[in-house]
Amino acid sequence: MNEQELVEDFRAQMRKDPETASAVAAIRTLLEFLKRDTGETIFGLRESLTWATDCLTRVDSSVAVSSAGELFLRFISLTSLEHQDLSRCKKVMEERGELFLEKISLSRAKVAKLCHTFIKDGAKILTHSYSRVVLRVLEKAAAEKKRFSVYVTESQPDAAGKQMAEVLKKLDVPVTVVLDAAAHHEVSLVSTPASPPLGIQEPLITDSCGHQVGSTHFYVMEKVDLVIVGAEGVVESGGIINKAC
Amino acid sequence: MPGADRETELSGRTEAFLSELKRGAPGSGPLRGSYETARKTSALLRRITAQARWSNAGELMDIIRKEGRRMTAAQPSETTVGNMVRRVLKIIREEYARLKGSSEETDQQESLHKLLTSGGLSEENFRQHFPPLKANVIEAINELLTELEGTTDNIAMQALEHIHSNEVIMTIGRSRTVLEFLKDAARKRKFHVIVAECAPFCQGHEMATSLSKAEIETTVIPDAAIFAVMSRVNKVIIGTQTVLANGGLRAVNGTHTLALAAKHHSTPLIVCAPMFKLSPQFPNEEDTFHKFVSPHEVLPFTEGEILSKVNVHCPVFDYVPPDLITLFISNIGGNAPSYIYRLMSELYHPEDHDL
Repeated sequence: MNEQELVEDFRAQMRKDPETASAVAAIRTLLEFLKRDTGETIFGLRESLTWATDCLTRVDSSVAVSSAGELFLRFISLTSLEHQDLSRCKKVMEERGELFLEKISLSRAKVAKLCHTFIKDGAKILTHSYSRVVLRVLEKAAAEKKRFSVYVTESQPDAAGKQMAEVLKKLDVPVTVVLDAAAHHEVSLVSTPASPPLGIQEPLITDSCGHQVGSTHFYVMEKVDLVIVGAEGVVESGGIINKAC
Repeated sequence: MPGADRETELSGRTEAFLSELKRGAPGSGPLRGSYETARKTSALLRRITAQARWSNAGELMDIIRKEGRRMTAAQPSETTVGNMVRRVLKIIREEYARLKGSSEETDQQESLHKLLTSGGLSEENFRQHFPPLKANVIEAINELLTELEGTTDNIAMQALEHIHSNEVIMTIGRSRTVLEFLKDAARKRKFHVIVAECAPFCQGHEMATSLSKAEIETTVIPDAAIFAVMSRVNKVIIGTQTVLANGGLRAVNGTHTLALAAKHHSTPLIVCAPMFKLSPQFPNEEDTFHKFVSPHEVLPFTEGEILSKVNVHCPVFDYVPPDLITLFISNIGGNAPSYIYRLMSELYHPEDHDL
């Protein structure tokens, strides 16, 4: 499998099911690569997998894809310790790979089941941008007949927050889109008297030049009961990597 | 028919236990008798295992889960009942796995490593029949009961490491565990105890009486004086009703105040809690977190005029966040609050968290 086929397969996986995480699509592609690999040694197999992961990372540089590749590589090393014969090793890896994919496809449902109990009736929830996991949690909570309202940050430049708001509207959940302003502007407390803070959809704070600055989060945060966010990645120290703001 | 007799006797006992739970924990007062409740629950579960009709582990687990749900519904604030049921369910799973011959690893918490390396799905439906299962499970429950009996002594044995001579210890309300802990230390050390009375039930008074009978110098203070006195205190040692999954506590009301005062003065806060109090609940989850009792204790009904104009609440429990706690002392030793999640994975199976 050469680079073009690899990239094409990855893109096809992403297109086929837009709901899957990019890490899952990457692992599917790597599994396919493994099936078609014609190497004779385990060392050769590892090298070609490292090369494949690099190709995929060039297509989609998110943390998820590179860590999926790492995981797969580790997977190979562990399996190769148990079975010395390459063809037997490959067969076992393919089986386990399929099993692994099955298990992780259940993960969003599990997260939703564990998390929806944290949402109580009358809660106001703040979330950031468009996250499929958070959407599942909110869907599950709505299905349990809980009443809650959601504030979503608009999350420019791709206005993914608006997409989230659309989906939530379809679920009959009251949703409000909140502006997120550039974080590096200073918060100036000069607000023009002509436009007092109305609702959170209006720009609230202006600096002396009249540009919109300052974070509207100050006003939303006081009203919010719970903040739920997804994550691109979780690092070893327990911190999360997420979209800016 | 002997079978039917046994079943009616069993359901009779279960009903008796349920009504006892509904009325209030064995003994009076909201906190007294956690140990009693745990012991009675385990004994009842042992009886159910021995006398109910079941042919494989799956059926037994269903019966126990059903009874467990009934018992927790009777008194939701009494979490030791649910904890014991979960322990027994874990025991059944382990015994089944042992008899089946599969290694214990397949049953443990899921981790990334296990996801990658385990062959075959962990889809166990526990339907195989093993004759020695009944005896094994009953024996394991007996071991659990023995462990329960020894918890207070195990905790008290660690007292000398934590209490030093001429120290001033503060505590709140009445806890059987803390009482034994302090009495054990008093055999070899001389120290002073300040007890916050913990209105409106004022169980602190009984605690002070018991402590002074053990020849420990005791002072009782009202709850409002906690912050004022805290600067003179070396350590705070408290008991609790429940230890939550995030390392936080559900303890008698007034404990959060005590914990905040201790944090402000950088005084270590030690919680003496046996393992059966560890519950897989999180603080935000259920609406049954708070329990309210009659406001008669706060404002007696004799003050009739005021009562029509005023809302009176008398909550029983307080939530203490894990960052205010320094150390948990349990029958298995001392642990930091951040380690609680690990202990939980050893005691309960993740699928049993929701009964």
